[in-house]
Amino acid sequence: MTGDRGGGSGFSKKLSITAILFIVYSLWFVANSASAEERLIEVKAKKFVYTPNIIKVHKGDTVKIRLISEDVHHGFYIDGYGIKTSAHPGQEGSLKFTADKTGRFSIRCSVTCGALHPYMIGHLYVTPNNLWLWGLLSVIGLGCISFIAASRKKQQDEKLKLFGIIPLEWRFPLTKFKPVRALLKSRWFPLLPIIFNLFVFVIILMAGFVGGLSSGNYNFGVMIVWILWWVLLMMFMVPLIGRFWCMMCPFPLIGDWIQRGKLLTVGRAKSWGMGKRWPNKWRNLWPLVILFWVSTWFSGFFTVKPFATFLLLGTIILLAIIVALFYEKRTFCLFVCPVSGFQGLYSNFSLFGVRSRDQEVCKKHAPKTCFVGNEKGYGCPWMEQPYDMNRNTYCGLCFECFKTCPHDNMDLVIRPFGQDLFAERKRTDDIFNRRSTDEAYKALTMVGIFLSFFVAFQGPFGHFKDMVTAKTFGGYIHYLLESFAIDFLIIPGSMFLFVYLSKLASKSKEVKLKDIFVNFSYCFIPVGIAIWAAFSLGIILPNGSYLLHIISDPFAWGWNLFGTAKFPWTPVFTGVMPYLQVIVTLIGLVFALDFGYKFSQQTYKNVDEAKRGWIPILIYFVLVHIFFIKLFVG
Amino acid sequence: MKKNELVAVILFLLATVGTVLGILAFEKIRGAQFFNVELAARSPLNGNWYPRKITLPYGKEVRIRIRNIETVSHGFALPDFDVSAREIKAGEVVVVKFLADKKGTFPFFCTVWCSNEHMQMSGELIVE
Amino acid sequence: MKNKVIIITLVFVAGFLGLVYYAIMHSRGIPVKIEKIETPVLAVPFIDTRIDLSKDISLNTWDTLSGKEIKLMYQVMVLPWPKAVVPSVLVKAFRTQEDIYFYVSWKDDTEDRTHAMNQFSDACAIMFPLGKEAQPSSIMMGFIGKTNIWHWKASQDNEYWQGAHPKTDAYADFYYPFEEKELFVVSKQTPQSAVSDLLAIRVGTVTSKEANAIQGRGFWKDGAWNVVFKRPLKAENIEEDTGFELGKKRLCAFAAWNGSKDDRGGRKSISDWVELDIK
Repeated sequence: MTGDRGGGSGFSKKLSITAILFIVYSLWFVANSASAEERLIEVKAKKFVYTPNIIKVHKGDTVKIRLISEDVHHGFYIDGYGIKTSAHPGQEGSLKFTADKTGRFSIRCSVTCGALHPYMIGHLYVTPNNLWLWGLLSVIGLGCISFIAASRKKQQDEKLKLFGIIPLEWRFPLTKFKPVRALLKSRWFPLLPIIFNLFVFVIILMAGFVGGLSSGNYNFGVMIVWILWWVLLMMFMVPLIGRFWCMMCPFPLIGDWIQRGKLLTVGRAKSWGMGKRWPNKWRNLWPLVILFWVSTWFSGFFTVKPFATFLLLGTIILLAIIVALFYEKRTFCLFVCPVSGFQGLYSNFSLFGVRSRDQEVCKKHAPKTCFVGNEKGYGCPWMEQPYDMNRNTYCGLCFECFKTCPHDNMDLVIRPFGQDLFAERKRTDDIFNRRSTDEAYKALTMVGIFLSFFVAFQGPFGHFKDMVTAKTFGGYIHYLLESFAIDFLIIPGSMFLFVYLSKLASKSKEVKLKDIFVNFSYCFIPVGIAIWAAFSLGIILPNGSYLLHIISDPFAWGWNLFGTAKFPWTPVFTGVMPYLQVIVTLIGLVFALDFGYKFSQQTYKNVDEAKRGWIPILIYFVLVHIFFIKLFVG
Repeated sequence: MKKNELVAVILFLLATVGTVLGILAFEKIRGAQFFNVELAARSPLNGNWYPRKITLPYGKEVRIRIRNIETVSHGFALPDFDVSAREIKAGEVVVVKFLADKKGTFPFFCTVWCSNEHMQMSGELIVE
Repeated sequence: MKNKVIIITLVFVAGFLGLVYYAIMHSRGIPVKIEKIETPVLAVPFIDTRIDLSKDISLNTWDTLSGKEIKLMYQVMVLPWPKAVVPSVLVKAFRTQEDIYFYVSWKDDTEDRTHAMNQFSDACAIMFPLGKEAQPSSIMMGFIGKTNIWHWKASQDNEYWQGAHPKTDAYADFYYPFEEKELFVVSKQTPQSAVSDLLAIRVGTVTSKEANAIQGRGFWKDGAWNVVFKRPLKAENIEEDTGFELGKKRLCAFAAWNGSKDDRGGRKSISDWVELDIK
């Protein structure tokens, strides 16, 4: 495993890998060649599952589907083929096609049949499932590349470089441009975007309020939040622009107004209200780990019922106001908002950050107005120390420090992916600078939550859907227990196992298991972003067309503001969707492998230990990604 | 400074209270133009049609706005006036028009199998 | 300070809870009292008598029973709809040792016993869902379960009891589901009974059975039809024939056609489920 054997063995390694791949592919091809048949498949549709929920045919088969509805009007649409039929109770639907495209295709219900209609899914497999094979081989291939790259290392990297090319400490200040600087220093920014979002949220709340228990897919509230906002957040905002949602979030607006006494201009420096300090033992991510997990207990409700969305958002806004009345500044945003936890953590990956430009200027500056405030702005509401900040995890991009700094020393920078993940930890007694189990658990539980959401909502299993919607009390408790076990025990446990192997392999004596565990868990940040982005593809591509309906008729009152109220349900790009999901997942793996070796270097004392310790973790991530590829297309 | 603060507060109020009032006002005005009777479709166990008895004046044109406020499809049929809306999908809104040129009590029904109690989903239209 | 904060908190919480309460109450539209759906129950008592339909339908026997007035409604699930509705039928039933008898009566201004082009016969039918657990949806002519339909037609009654011959130039036999697809049978066999014994699995699948154990006869008098059905209690073929278990309840539904209003096929008036209590 270890030792430097030089270029010759590298070549023989490549040769043997290629030979293995060829043999695997040939076996696969042989196993999957079969002659084309005619198949007649009877499918029964009931809320919200098809029976059979998994159909397997061969490439070239002529498939005839006979659709029978067992309760109400159901539809049957096949991704990739784009054909559909529907069946009323008492009248059959039929579909005939030649299975000329291979892979796994989702079968979706095309007629609103009940609360969980958008998640009524079946799977059609047309063998050979080449995408699954290529995904699998790519994962293994990437693992091999990482192994080879790691084994080539002769010494610790002095400067960390992303993919060995881009220095991780590189940054480009956007505030170089005058308009950007002027914008960030204006008190109207980000107030105006916040007020715009407030306007949208009022409509969302109103739609949830009047929508009651009507159909979620025709409700402005449910669609904008769970289809548009969630997808934008996971696919674009968080991975690219970091905590920009926090910048324009309307939830703390009323609380801020009460605390400060003024909406736009600078009022009191000390918050009105009890102004308490959040207790030390909760000054970490654990409350958010728990809170976010608790909010997922209700995912079967708020994603489909307008009233439940109203209840959830209303409760969060109410909490934001109440916490602002009792605690100082943005305690809510830091420690109570369920969205805050993963946003902060995942933003470590993003391209945008806030930094002070010249440390020397800050050293000489007293008092530090970015922290205490002045007549131009408030001291950092997120209780960060902007003059010293090297990590944006807990910075909500409110830009008060830009307004208060008399030396114009704050910059909005663009930097390579993952810069914050390697930021040096300066103090250990403060949430801002610790690398600790709470953040590790946040990264890990996000993976478990993805798993439950994906299997329940984008999978073909009726009994999971029944469980998350509490069809029976017992089933619901079962879901909560399973969710706890997977999120808090099984996934962290599996990681811990390989962490233990890593320590064994490294032959290190001094390094603590906890540190290895925490450090490598951060690999789940790019992985988490990737799998949530792939999940979001599965939301937006099939169901994005509902957005056209709800912007014209937000309350289902028969409006037609933009003429798109009658726009039919139109899935888009569902044929390429599995390919996109595989690519996105692989991108996550690439980053995880690159970052992972760097974490290994930061954890272990010398290059040999780092290389040896890396192997079990490498294997773990390869296995994990094989599992993800299987989830998405296998 | 004070002026700016005032502008900000006004924008806030517009975005919140203004939006709500605007929406309600728009709905009222639009409604008067498009329909003169409201009907909500619900399965019998959720309340059946609302209102279940509709009283209309004789001789006037009737425009009923039927909203399906459920998650399954319903239908509407008023056989005595040969009026129907074939399938009103969940969340859909349709308007049916006819002239109330007969006096009496006329039943209307749901035409799409929506629930096990579908056969009881009916109401009465009274023209006097 | 603390008091002010607490008061403000309570105001916000109360406001929110008020909104939540209002939203819950209106979550399914404006709240109404949900009426309990009552299935009418028709008692089928034991009467030790025998009706010979070749002679008459024995109105005296029927007068001893009160029966039940069953409300009928327009059939609107499939096109075409009837143009007018038969408002209700009066139904009575009893059983003997071997047979079960049903009496169906409804108001009809005209006695329509002929079936020709554009002239339609009056008729009525009783539908029984087959199978152990009768689903409510089987009222759609059997959907997901099978149903057995006893279909009495005044024209068929004429042919059977009076030996009247059907007109041979055009004989219309209208079946489901849509007008355009209605069948015209040119020749027709002499019917085995005034009542057709039919099976349906869903709309559009009505089929006659080989054997026919059901007898029926109807008389029109003073603006009303009186029709009697008779069948042995025991079902010949439990898969296809309605079973009647003593001491148990089972479902049935009724339909009526008014020929003078162009009723035929899907143009009919139907009832909701009625429960038979077989004593």
